[in-house]
Amino acid sequence: MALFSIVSVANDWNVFDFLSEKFGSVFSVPIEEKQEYNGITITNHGKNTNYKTVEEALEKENIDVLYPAVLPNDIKVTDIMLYTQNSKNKMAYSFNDSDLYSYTTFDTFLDKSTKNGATEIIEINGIVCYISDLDDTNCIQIKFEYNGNTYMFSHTDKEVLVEIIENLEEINNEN
Amino acid sequence: MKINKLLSLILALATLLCAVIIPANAAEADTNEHIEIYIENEDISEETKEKIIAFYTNGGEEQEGVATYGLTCTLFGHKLESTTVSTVTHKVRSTAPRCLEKIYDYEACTRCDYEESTLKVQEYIYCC
Repeated sequence: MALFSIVSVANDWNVFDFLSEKFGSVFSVPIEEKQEYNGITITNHGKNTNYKTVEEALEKENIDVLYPAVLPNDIKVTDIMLYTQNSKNKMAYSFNDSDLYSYTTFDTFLDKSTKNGATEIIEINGIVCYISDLDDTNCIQIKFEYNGNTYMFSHTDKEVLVEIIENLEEINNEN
Repeated sequence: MKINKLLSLILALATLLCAVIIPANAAEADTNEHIEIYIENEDISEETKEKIIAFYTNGGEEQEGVATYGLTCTLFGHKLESTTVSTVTHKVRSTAPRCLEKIYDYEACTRCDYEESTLKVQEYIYCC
């Protein structure tokens, strides 16, 4: 061992990198793998944490946001991803419905193109919602602003989207 | 004469039909789709960045951990790098919003060709 140490210093080897390469997980930091979990996984810029419910996840992560408290057609939130895109902080829900997409952009407002290009504008629980019915793609997108954040929900069925938005609840960690 | 008139009518109808088809095809050919790829994590290796570009420019969709394991990875597990990847495919639709943006959660091993891509969000956006 002493001889090895002398040789490694002389050759500018990093002993721990060498051992890590040769003996893998014994010396390296365990790679965090996504586990099957009957709850909610929040991925925060690559770091996974598991919670029992969406509400618990958002409260513990200190995220003030609207969340889908009631979902139709046995739809469930499977995980939440926090990420940065073009220097903006965002959060995306994943669901067990492959046609349903949703994300939130924090600290931003809706752009004029979205407002002017809407095919329909409705109000749900006092929130003005801009609907884009993209019938050639079988996709309906609904976007709105609330409390300094913007939200996007999309699905093939407008009624599903309206029901989800009607049942959004607010996490406010200042209360 | 009657046959000539009939033939003329058929020819005229055929010409009219072509005149209807060609503009529709021209509109389809005018989409000029091209894709842009954005990699959020600037700390990942150049090798992984090249993997990402190759994956998504080759029309890579959701892929679950397909790979041929190297011996080291078989014995000690993957050495993973991960990032959010966003792609914008321009002019997918003929009317606004014309472009399709997709957000993926991507990870790859730096020692073997394992890579996994999960689509998280997609949205038609006002870009072009």
